[in-house]
Amino acid sequence: MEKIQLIVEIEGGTGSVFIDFDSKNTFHFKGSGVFVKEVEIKEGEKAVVIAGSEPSDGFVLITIKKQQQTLATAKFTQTVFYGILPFTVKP
Amino acid sequence: MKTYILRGWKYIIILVVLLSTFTNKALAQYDSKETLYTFEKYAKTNKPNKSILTEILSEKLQFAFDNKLVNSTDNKLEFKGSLHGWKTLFSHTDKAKTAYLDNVFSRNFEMGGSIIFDNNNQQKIKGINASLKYALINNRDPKTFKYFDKTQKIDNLVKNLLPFLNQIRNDYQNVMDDKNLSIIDKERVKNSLNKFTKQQDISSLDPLLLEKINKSSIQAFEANFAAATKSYDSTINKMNNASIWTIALNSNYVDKKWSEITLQTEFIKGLGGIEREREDYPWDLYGGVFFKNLQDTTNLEKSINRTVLTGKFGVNKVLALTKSDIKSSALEVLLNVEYNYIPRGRYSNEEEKTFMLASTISIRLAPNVYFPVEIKYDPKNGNFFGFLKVKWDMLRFNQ
Repeated sequence: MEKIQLIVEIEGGTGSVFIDFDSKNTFHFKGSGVFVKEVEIKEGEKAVVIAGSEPSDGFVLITIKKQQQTLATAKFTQTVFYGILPFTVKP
Repeated sequence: MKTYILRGWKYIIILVVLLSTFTNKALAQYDSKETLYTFEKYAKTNKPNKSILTEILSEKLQFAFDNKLVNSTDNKLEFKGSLHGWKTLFSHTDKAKTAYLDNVFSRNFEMGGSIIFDNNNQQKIKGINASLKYALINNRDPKTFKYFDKTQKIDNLVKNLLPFLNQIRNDYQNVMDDKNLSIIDKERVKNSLNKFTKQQDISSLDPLLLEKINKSSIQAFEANFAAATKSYDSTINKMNNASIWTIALNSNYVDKKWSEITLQTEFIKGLGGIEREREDYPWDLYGGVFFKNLQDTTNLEKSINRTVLTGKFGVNKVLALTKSDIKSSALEVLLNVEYNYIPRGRYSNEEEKTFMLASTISIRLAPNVYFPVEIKYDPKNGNFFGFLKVKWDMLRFNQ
């Protein structure tokens, strides 16, 4: 198992986002701020599921990191948004 | 020369008001953003939900100069504010200044006073006025709109998108674990996920993933997505179309007696629709009932005990917006009908019942300064009346 970091930045006060790693680790973040979660995950090709809303014109930035290395990132500005973000976890 | 100076005092006041607005930013700096957790971003960047008309209740402190344009009656210099506004003016503690959301009564209760000047001698103070106003309903302040209290439904609809996405993700994992597929194929599938996320478009998924999705689950997903968007629009509309309903009492003290007492109630309801374009330039419904009783102080022999009942009903439309970061109404027009009933104390040749058409054009000159110019027309007698007011909102939030 490898430790990765999920970093969610919500710019506006009305943003809300669900992030699902494997149907077991589902996180919900809302309100403005930078939220960080540490997740343990098996190595290999992975993908994280994203669904959220941001009514104001602020953005929601999702970054997946392992230590200092960015594995994947996605930025959303839509009112209601979704996505699947693939990334590779190496030992 | 003296007459010129006397007439000019009102313009000096206007100038002072305009200059003072530029100092207002500094005064408002102490407002706590932490307490205003809801729609600060929305208010700054999106659509204005409030018209100038909404300022029938001063947000904090308001300064106004009331003048009649056409007919000769007295001029007034008003200063009024919410109880919360008065508290912040005189308080030295941060708590009183920042607890905006908690002070519902203080925000909804307005106290004010004005100096009434004699129209014939504008240096002479003729009397004073005191006013009390309370908002029975006050839902038009976006800063008190607790967004997340009203968005559980949106969150649930957004959450409902997850099973469909999880299914695609599981299919993706299977593709990536398939040892019969080439690295090139896997890379293509991976890229299609990035494209899908960027474009929010199911058709951009690679055929290897698309072939595993059945049509009914796509339809269900799209229905959930549309419902979430619609639910958001509905929530925003609720805020934009909120109401304000006030009751008020105000009285003039002239010649050592309370010469005029007015009881009034006013109501505003937003009429904006679902479409965003319409919300940019919102419509408001306006209604007001005014019961006025006055003792004519010019008649020393006998008070006329005059009673006037006035009803106003109309619609207000924002016509132009400010170009500043905070989108506010810059120009709007209120078209209304006015019915006056004077059961007693009528002047000679005055009718018991009159019906008027009225229009108030409000122009915002600076973020906190606006000029409502009211023109009334009596269709029966063909008379025009005009009223000019200068209003200055002090200490508004987010300015």
